[in-house]
Amino acid sequence: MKKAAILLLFSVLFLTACEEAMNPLPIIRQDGERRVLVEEFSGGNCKPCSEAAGELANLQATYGENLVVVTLHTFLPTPQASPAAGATYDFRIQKGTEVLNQIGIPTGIPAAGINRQPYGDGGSALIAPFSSWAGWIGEEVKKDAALGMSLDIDYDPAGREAKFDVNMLPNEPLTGDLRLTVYITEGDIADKQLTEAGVVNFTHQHILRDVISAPQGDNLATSLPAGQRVSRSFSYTVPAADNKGPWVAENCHIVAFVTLVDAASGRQEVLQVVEEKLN
Amino acid sequence: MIYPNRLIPFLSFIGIFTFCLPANAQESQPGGGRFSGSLEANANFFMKDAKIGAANTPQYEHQLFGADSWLNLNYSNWGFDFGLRFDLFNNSNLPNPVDSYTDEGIGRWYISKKIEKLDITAGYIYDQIGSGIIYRAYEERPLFIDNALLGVRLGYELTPDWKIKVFTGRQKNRFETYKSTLRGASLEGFVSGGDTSNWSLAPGIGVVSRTQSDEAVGQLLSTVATYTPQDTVSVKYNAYAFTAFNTLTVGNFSWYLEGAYKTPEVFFDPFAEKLNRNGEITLGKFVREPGTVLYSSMSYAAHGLGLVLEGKRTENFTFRADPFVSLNRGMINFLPPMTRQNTYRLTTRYNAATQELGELAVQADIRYAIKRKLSFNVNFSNITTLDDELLYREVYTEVQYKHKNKWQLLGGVQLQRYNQDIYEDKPGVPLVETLTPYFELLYKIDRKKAIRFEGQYMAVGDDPKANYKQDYGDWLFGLAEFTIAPHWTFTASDMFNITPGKNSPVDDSGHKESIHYPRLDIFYTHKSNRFSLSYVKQVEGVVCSGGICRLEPAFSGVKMTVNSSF
Repeated sequence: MKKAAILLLFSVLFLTACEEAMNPLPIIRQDGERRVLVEEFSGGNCKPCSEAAGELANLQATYGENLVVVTLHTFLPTPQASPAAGATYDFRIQKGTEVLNQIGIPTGIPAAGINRQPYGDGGSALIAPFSSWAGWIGEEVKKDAALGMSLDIDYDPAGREAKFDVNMLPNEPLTGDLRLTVYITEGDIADKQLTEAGVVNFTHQHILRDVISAPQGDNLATSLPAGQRVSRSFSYTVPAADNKGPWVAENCHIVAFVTLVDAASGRQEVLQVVEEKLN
Repeated sequence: MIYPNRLIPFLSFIGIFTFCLPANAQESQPGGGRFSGSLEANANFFMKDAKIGAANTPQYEHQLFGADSWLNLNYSNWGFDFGLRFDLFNNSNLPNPVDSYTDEGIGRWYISKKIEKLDITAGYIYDQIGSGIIYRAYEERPLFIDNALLGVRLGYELTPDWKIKVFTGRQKNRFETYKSTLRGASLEGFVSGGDTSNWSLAPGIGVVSRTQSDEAVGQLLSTVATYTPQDTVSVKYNAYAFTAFNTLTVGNFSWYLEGAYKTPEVFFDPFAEKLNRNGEITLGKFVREPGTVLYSSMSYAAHGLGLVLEGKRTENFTFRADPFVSLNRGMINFLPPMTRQNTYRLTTRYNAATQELGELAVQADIRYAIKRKLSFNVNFSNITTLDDELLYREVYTEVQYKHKNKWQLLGGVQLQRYNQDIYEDKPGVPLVETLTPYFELLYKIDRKKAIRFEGQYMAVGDDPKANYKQDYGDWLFGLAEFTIAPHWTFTASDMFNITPGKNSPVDDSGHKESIHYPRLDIFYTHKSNRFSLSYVKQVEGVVCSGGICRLEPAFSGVKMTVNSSF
């Protein structure tokens, strides 16, 4: 028995010396139809949020149009969610908080939903830390696109009015509680942000300025046959400014996505997303 | 407001699990079996107070009640040991201070059998190798840590002084497990110079290996694939951690030394620079590095004098069950803390969480007792990064005087330097400087009654940029406690933000506000059962245990606890 025990110990030690084969890196494609929605929850007083923004910029450079990013500032009860000292803007909007409440409450920010899939801690659709986002985006972008989406936008700069159609073409039969959500985002906003170097001037991208549809999504259908085109029309007047700060229409984007809501759990899965510049 | 109908579930809960169980400890069975167990139950009634930050969470906005409970049952018979633990989390904020977690189920079970020199255990196993630097499976409920290994362990007694063990399994993750697998082994012994000698050795070696899941490796590969070539690292499934340790004891002198090495593995370094595809550089990327820890602890105790000298150097020794988890999640190992374990309200306000990616820490502790009446304690700790940036420094002094077993006075001063930037992710803030004098007076009125007072004042440094005191500013704390042995203890205390600081809340006029945080407690002890009822207003802080820390949110409301063993 004693010999067997010693043998067992040394076999464990010996096995550690075995060399493991290399694991090849996957090749990333930018030509698939499947686009991935990242809803990033951020804050002006959140130091790692500035690093997360850099990570998302890198991922967009990697995935191109296959990755759509929206950055939401919410009224999450943590000091990190507040605007940085001296900020002009307060990016927090109540509708963003309502979106957050649908997805879950993160252990901290930055956190993100990747197509609202339950990849996070304990099956949450909110994923932190940001180091894990790339891996899950890689999983999502490999999936087949359940539908194709496009946006036709007609923007009148004089009246600051946008009229647009969201066009959807299912690649397969879709059944269930299908919803359409439409955001308007703004990029290239220069304002304060807490970073590793303290509070600095920072260029904010993909900031959610308003939710044009209902925050939980507009009811789209309960059944859509494959190949049947569906469209929804919207109009939206872009404010020159509001109590959150000025708007620059030229830097705004429309983001539209279709979700499938599970009736029992309330969980949502983003099936496809599309993004177009407003002007 | 506390609604009576909200009390009913909790009282029913207490009734079922406390009073219906055998009152007699270690109830014996006719067949020679032995039954034992314990219950810990905490109930919180949340009363919103937006001024102190106790608001905007599900508990304060609509749930109003939360509870955590652990019921542990053990039974031994026929040479077997059986254990079962029921865990309950009801609107709990333990995993996430701003969210609510509800779940319940079997938190632990195990079966253990000793067959001559062979010890077999299956189920959820708590264990460690050496001081835990390469492996420690343990439970720390206030921090929501339960790192039990769900698996099998075999132990064998080679000789009465030499033991070997091997184990394999997966680490517990709430009511599930992480997908990676663990395996490990250790050999520990004891050597002495014989009956006439005053020296002994307690050497040991150990190894732990973790194999990542296909899913984790796939994600790591997908992540690294987004890096520019200069940042790319190779990803492997397996990592190994080795340790060798020894305790040398010569008379009153004892020296523990442990060295550990972890083979190169991929982990996230939040301070590493990454060159992105758009040419920008950001902080934080996966790197592949080996890890090392060297830890030493020397102690000497004789003639009323006690000396402890400790040192630890840590580099890249993060070892987790999942490469994408952080904070208190998925930790396979435990790095011993290098600071004094303080107990008073204000002396525990700033704590140094262990830095697994790099720190150099030393600690010295001197105790000296002049007879039984008078004793002294001085503790010094200093923690820096490997680049010599100060993380934490503490000088703690204590004098204790006992007078004829009638009264006892204890007092001293604590000085701290605390790197809030690193520990709490607050860049640009100066090192928090504190000076905290404190005292404790215990007076025994008679054989049953005693009264105890505590007083502490924490003075913090200035933040010139903010034009305020640092962090929350200065604090004053006072406590009075009346005990009627053996059953009752009554406590009243107040923590007062006497000079508000940069982070103190503001009032309606925009001025920093001096807020009181009162607390009233009633404790009742009956045999091995302890009950408490408390009204609490508590400022947000960081709670640490063993160098592992968790953000403790502000609390306003009523707490009830039951601790029982049977």
